[in-house]
Amino acid sequence: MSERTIKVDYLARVEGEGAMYVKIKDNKLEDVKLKIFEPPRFFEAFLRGRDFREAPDITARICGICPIAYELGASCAMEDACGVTVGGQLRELRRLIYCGEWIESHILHMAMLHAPDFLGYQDAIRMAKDHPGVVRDALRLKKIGNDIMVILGGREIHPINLCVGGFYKVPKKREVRALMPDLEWGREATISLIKLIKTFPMPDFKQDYEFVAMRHPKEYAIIEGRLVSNKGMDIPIRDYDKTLVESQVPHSTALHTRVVGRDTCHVGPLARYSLNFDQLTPLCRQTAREAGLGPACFNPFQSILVRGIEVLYSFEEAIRIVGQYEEPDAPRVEVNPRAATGYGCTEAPRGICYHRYTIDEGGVIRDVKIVSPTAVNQPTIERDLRRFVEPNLGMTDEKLQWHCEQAIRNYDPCISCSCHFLKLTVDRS
Amino acid sequence: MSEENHHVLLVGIGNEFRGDDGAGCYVVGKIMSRGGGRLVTKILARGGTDLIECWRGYETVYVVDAASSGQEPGTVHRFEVPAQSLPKGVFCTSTHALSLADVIHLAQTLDELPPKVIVYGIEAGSFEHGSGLTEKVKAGADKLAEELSGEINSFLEREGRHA
Repeated sequence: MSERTIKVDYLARVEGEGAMYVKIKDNKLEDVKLKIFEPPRFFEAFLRGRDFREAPDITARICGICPIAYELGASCAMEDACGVTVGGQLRELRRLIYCGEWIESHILHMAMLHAPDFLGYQDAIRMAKDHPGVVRDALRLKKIGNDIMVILGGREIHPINLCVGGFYKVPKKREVRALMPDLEWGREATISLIKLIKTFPMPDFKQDYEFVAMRHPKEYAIIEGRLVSNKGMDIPIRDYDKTLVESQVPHSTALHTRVVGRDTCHVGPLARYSLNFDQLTPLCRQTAREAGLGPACFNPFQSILVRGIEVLYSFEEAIRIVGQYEEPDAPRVEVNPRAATGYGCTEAPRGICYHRYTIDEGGVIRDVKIVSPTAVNQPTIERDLRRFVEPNLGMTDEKLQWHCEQAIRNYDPCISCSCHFLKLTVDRS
Repeated sequence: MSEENHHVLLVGIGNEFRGDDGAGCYVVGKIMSRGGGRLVTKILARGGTDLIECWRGYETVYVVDAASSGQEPGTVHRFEVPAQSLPKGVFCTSTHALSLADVIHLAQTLDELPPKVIVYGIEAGSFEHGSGLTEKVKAGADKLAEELSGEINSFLEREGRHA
């Protein structure tokens, strides 16, 4: 009897603390676990009893990489509860700051965290010796994303300028227009980066996923839309809890999500791209085709390319918004509380980020549910690992571990975001 | 802002809401409040690769960050890069960003390291949530603010520039 265990106690190049465990017995795969042991953070619990206007600033603290997803998810849910719609330039500014978040998050992951896997480097520092231009351009691209967040949000980490109804203060037209030269440079630099990534060796690993993403009738959905999938889902956000359910597993402080009556699902860039390819710009579609991508992508290792297409989209969308920006008359729409439950969902860099709040007539939060995209993807990541390891048992442990870590990074997991929950059982017998 | 000041930059790194992690920001704030004049200063909540974008084009950069090497809280470390290399394990690390030593290494690789980088580390006592420095760290930070202010002024005078 032979037994092999591949264990990575602390996964590198992911956000937060997680581990991987693969057990092979008699040349058969016995167990695979993506262990999430980041301490639970209880956000849902300590939002209860707070004023509804505090939710965006509190939930921003869930993540330093994707705070906009939380701030806007909370804001949209509160506006839904209070019967308010935010439109016009305020809505455009929300899309613009989200473009900034997509750019900084995607570029950090693509160039600094994921690219070393494909090129055989332990980390980006060693990669920089042989590919200094890539790293230099990536740092500049990331900074442009940060700059958008600073101009609109006040700072790039946990921005302080977003609120229920819009913004505390809107930027001046000249501040926004000043972004244009960098955005135009960024669009071209991203195309060059995609051309380079196209040459990376990609494992052939197509999977039959249920992709879940938002879809909007008029735009590549980021802050608004219905939830759709390639297996028949087409629901308003308020039906989320009837369609996607969470359960606890012993090896994770993050809850696992499944589609009711079906299986795990996949959220994030691959899902958005595959469900909304027709809504990308002509330049994005052309660049995708030239990079060898079809109108849908079922190979998670190609997510690095798809992220590149989304960065290109973000630059084009930012250029569009910046070009037409006029300062709105008021920085926000007035929102008065009423007793209701509101639902919000936006497309975080890693996938849909769902918020549900119940508030009372005084605007006090009574109940909260927040689901991060990494929590949704966690069982899908484990399934990918299982399906990748099974036909590759002949690989050396070292090679298998390398590819397994790469497979986890396909999802750019944000482990810190996913840990809102811990089921605590006290046995007093 | 005069042209001269684009040659010298003072950066504080840290999160002022994580106890002594904010020591670097505290020192920079103190120097500014004591009349830092038009010296260019920046505060970075997380250092990481943002530092490389932040110091591009400067000739001399002073960086102040919290340190965590196990020495007495409030102890001040000083390193002059590139003459000295930054030892690993002295400055704080994070799962979210590269350590200061790694950033300097990356900047050297990319040929993005300013000609002179002086790094100060203040040994932290606590990284607990909440603002304010612990007593020994505050004493060390106050002393460093005074000395560093003098060092920067002397440097600028020697160079014929004025803060």
